[in-house]
Amino acid sequence: MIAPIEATGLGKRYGRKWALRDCSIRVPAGRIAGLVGPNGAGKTTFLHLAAGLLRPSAGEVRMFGRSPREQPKLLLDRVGFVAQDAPLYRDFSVADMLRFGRVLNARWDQRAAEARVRSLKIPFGQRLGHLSGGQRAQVALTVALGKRPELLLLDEPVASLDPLARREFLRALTGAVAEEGLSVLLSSHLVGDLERVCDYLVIIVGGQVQVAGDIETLRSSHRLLVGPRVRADRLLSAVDVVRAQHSERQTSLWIRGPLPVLPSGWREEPLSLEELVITYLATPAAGTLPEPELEVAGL
Amino acid sequence: MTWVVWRQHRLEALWALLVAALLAASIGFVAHQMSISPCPAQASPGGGPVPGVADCLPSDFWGSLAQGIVRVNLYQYGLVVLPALAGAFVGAPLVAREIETGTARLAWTQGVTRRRWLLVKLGLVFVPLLAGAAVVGILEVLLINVEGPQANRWALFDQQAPMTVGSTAFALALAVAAGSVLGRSVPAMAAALLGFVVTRVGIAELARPRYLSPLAFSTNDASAISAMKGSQTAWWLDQFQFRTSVVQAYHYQPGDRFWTFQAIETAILVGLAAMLVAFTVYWVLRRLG
Amino acid sequence: MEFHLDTGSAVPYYVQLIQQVGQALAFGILEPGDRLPTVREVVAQVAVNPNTVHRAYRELEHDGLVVSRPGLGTFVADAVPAALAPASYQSLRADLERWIQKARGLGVDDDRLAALFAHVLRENADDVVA
Repeated sequence: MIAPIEATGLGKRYGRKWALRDCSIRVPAGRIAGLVGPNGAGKTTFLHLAAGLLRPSAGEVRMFGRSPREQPKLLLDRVGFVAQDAPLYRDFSVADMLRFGRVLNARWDQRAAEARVRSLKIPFGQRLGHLSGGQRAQVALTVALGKRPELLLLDEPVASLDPLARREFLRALTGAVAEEGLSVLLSSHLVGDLERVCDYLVIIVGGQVQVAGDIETLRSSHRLLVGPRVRADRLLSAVDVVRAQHSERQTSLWIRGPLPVLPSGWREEPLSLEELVITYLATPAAGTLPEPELEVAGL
Repeated sequence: MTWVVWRQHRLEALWALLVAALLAASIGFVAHQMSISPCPAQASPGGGPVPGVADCLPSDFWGSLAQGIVRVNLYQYGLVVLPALAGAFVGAPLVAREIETGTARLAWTQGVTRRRWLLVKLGLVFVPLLAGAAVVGILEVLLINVEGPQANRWALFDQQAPMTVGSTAFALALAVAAGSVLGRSVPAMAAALLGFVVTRVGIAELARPRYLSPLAFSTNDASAISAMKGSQTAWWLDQFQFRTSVVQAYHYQPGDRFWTFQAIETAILVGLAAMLVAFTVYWVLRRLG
Repeated sequence: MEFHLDTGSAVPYYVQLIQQVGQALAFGILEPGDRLPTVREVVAQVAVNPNTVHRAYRELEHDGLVVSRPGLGTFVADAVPAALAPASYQSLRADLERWIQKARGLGVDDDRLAALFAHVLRENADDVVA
């Protein structure tokens, strides 16, 4: 099965600064993959490279085995993209926007697009500039889905939306995936939404991929161990530590791998996905180097 | 794609059509008024000055209207300013507005290649505007024909076809290029206007007098000088002194060179426009990402 | 039946779905032969990844609680072992109520009680996937 997205050593440089570097990931088909990281981490750069809006400085990225820069026409029909803040033509009406999609895309389903707009209860004659942020995001999603893509790329689609609009957008997105079976890659800095909707996660910090994998696998392979500080050293050498945090009496270790035999006084604490992501965001070297980073927590 | 470009720019298109239609109609109207009572070619036997065109128009309402238009030098200024404005207001936002609003990322991820998107946009904007410039420029040529010998073609060099077409093409191409590089509509408009003025003035002042070597006219006969100067068909350049005598001499370009000069300068402007368009295509396709 | 997701809970979403089906069976909301909501219907209710629903339904089928009929849907199995026989249900509930009264008598507040229960449950859970 050809992966919807496969990046090999992908990098993008602006002047001397690398916005993205050594990025090698493979998102399996049929997933909703989440791209998470702090602002400026390289999420938008990656999505733009995948969508063919940017040219790589190093490495390559392929969608369904094809390069977006070398075979743009082929991919433009199969890949949908919604940029940050869902740009639309503000003086177009909703109907105009659908016609735009119909005229520019070979495989366009006008009826399905109209049905989606009707279910959103947005009048077809309404100017896009008069819609709320949530409605504009939905219209942008409708246009991207209208061409029946096999892969959908979304750049922070819900970042500026209120909670209700966010939920509605995700509902529309997951509904479309349930109906059409497309693959999705969406970026966000809100982990809560990702957890609900994604089953594959890529964590990116400082332009480099820290971790990528099935959310279930990530969850089952990471643990939080807590125990007395005095006995920490014995454990430290036996496990692959992503992050360590010491207070006066207690040490917390975020580890990767199977549960070791715990010395007395040590226990495992539940580790939410959000905590796991924060752990990686807080220790950017964790993905690429095995050394733990020691941190003394103040009180 | 055609529908998309139309839908995006239909307001500008209607304005341009309106302006061009008004201009064409008014030129036709003035020409018609002039043909009713043509001006005498020579000075009156009493030795007075050659009557100006405006003085020969009928004195009814319509004639007065035509007089007003002529006195205000509507075409003299209007047909020089319009290409610059067309370039700035239509050309500058063509690419820049899509970049600054982010809709370029929307357009470039639909099922059309970036190249097709750009070429269709450029084509659908250039062709009508150049056609309009051609129509208005041709009408101005006809108007000057109707005016008769009083009119000096050289004084309205920029306002006739094919120069109107050349300068419109140049203005548009410059503005689109500026918009693509700067990525913002308003700075691009300013840059385009500035660039247009500097280039056109530079060409007109420095290059135009020299497309073909000027001829020299020299005589000590004062009445011959004033008679020659009265002739409106030549373009009088500078006055100079032959080193070997005290005779007054003038450089000039004769009237029969007019159309040759039009062709040369239009070709220069069209050549510049073509280079700017090629640059724009290169920039948008390769550099913007 | 309607599904809900508790986003704050440490319990994985697919496990929550499984639990809710179990509860629906225990309380008679679902009976043998009933059709479960389709994956699309669940996703429309709850805005969750369709694979999560697929996984929950697969596990339920693996445990023998539901049967998947291609083209028709997913149905509650006919021979569903009572998730909780009424007698067991009453007995467990009574034990639980006694335990809660005891804890309150010792001055333990509800939050700490819930934490204690969750902790001991985790310690004793073999086959709940993390």
